[in-house]
Amino acid sequence: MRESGTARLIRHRRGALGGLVVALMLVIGVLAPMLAPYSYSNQSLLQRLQPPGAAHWLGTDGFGRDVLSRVMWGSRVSLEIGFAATALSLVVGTVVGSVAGYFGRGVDTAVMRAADAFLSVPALFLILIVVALFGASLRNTALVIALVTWAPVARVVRAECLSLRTREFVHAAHALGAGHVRILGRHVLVNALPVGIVQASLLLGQTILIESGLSYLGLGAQPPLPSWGNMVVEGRQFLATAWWIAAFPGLAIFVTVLGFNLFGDGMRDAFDPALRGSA
Amino acid sequence: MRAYVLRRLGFAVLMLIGVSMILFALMRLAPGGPEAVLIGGELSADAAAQIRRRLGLDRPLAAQYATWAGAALRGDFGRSFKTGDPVAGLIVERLGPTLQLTGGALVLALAVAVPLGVVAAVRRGTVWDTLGSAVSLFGVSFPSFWLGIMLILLFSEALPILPPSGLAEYGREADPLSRLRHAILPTLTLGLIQMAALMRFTRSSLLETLRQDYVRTARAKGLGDGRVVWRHALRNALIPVVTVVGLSLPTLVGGAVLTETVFAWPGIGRLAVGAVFERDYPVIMGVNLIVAGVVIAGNLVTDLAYCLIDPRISYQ
Repeated sequence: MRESGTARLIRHRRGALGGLVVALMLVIGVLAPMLAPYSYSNQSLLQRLQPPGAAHWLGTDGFGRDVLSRVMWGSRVSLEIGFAATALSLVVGTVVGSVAGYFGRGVDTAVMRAADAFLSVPALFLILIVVALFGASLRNTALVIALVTWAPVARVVRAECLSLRTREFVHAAHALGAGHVRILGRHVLVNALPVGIVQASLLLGQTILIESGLSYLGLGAQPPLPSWGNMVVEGRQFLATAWWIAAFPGLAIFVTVLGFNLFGDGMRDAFDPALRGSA
Repeated sequence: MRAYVLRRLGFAVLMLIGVSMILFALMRLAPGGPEAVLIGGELSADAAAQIRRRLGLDRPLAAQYATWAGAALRGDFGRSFKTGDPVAGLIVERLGPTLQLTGGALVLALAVAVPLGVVAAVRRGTVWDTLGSAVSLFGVSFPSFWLGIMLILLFSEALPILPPSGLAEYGREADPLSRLRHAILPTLTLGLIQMAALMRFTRSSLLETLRQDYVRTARAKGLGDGRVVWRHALRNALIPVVTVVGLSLPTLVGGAVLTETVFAWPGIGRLAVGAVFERDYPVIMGVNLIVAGVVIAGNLVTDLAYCLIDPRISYQ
């Protein structure tokens, strides 16, 4: 009997571990208001720069705010933007890639050259322009990250559609009089979606890294809303005296991205056997 | 061959034109237009219209683009809104440090990633392979700015042996030793991130090659492991690695933005970030055009190198 993809994902040890880390981060993010021992914005000058200890497990920052609580709240920004940007990137990449792959020829060439152009401008520079022009906000951040990550998704979906469009069931639908929109939507897209999703799951870690980088530059989430990136910047100035302020939010980014990368590898191995072990 | 080179060259030029059009269109899409920053909110509609006329912003978009592109071709990217300095001069000043940083990081990454990737592929399934995979997985999961800060914490604060920021001590910019000491941490930060991806790729490429018939033939001839791997397999496995180096140029240059910010490294990345906060559009546009140009040129060189290394690739 053929094993289902889900079963393979669960048996894939590293993938399952990644999934567990991701699930844990999601729970922390969603339940931050209940789980966080302190508020993320309450300042207390008497409690400034406390090292990690019983009262403040991860210490306090330059304003006396609890680092653990802020790390917990910070996961919301990272995860929200990570998921929103990846979802957008998946939608755009799938639509563009399937149109290019299905119609082929001129459409294909035009679309894939545009994708190449996007891949040749360093993502962070493109993001800088857009943020400079339209301002920093959570919505803009998700939009620009999607703008620089859709091309790889489009590529794999296109390749899949190129092979799908020559299959019998597509010819059959065509012979029955179905139009392009119907064939593309009901027959081709459904079959190309899995490879798109696998590619998108590999993107999740990357989108979170980009978001944290933008926050680090001061172009992402704006204070007092805590995001891991801007917590690291705030910690930078206390590096000599209070290492924990910069260290823990960065560690949270690292663990989360590692979890997403493991999970993405697991997804790829479980649902796309052709790519197994290829990277 | 010549036709191929010319076609690739033409394609690179088209790409650059495309990128410049996108950049130009983006700039004109800004709320209030680029003049909003210059004009501010205090001028009457009449005075604002006068400034727009003087800057040529009342002309058709295509004419504006032609003027801008023509000037850019002559190396004139306009003047910074903020300081009034020519943008081209600002970029030339900052390009050196960025090229030093990215070049150093790439060399470091290749020097470590290729041997590690080979060991991981040859000793597939052993502890070396697992270790290699773990290192590369960790590498792609590190936020580079945090890695940089942790290195500063370790080597500038805890064990104060390396300087945490800048290109060199003030007034000692010409001293190579001072430059070298300052370059170690930023180069390490940027290089480590690149290393991970290159290592993964070398490993999978070599694994693929080791399965080929000619490798089996070489072994059947009685050649030792070392000779088979280093002389027969690696040469061919490195071909796709060359492409990946080309493809990783954008991430390398993009990564430089964060690394330069962490280490106060006076390069293009910091120039761009500063310009974004000042909404200094001419600088942003100029930097992006140059960066895109460098990346496109890099890709062109990789493509050409690719067919020099591998004669099987047809120039169709």
